[in-house]
Amino acid sequence: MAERRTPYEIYWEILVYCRTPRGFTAVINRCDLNSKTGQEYLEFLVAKGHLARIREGDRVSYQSTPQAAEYIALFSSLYQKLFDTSPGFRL
Amino acid sequence: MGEDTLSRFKGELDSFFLIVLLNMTFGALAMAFGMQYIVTVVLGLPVWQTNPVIRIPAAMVALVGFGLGMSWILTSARMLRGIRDIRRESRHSPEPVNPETLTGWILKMTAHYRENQKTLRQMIVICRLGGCAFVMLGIVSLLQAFAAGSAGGDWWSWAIPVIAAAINLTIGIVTILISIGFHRYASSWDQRLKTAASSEDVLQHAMERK
Repeated sequence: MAERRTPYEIYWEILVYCRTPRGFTAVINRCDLNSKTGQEYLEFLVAKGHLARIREGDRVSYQSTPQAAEYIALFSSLYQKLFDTSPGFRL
Repeated sequence: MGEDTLSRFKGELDSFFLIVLLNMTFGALAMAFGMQYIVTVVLGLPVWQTNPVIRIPAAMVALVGFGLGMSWILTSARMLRGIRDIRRESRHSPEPVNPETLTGWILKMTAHYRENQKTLRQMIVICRLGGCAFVMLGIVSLLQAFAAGSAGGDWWSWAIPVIAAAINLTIGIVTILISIGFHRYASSWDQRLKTAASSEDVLQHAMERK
């Protein structure tokens, strides 16, 4: 069965949501991920420099870096173009 | 771009919502009339003909038809629920809409289409077949009305088949139109998914850039 979302779509959702610092549970709940895949996505984005891991005592939160803004803008523009370029559907 | 994209998005969402709603309504009607038709055929037979050899297959056909109709309605309801949530969110969002909010809705629609792609293809086939069956039933009813009119019987002997023909033809034609609507919606989204897949290289590049 085809996946509902591609990894690039999930990256975008995480990066937009993490514009303000968010905890791990909040991210996986909001982006509808399980703990294992959620951890993998967050690690990937941290490794690529799009997310910053912020430690405050025992608490860890994630925040999008300025580098993520470019990806967010590019993604938004590409996905909005889907409605501009393809023949639309209307009754 | 934003405003135009937003109005296109909302227009498409409304059109699809309407078509799924119509599909559900006409699915229920088709199921009801289909059942009634089979029951009428069995009950309308002379007593000596209504033996188990006829009744059992007729009941089985009615049961299968009922099951198919129910699954048709339930599938439409599931599809409608997904669309209704996105539609409600977009209708209650304050203007002007943030470009990222719009992208989020587009993503939800994309996920909804991927989730329902297979069902939608089945709906196209079922609606076409069901629509053709109802058009054929309508034509049969028209022929019955014509035959009754030519025989010069009471007015109701031709009026009832005419009413039946009108109902069957309406259901048939609307169901075929729904299948055309689904087909156009699916073609439009298949094109979008292809475009989205082809832009993955660009996104990959942006993701790797440091």
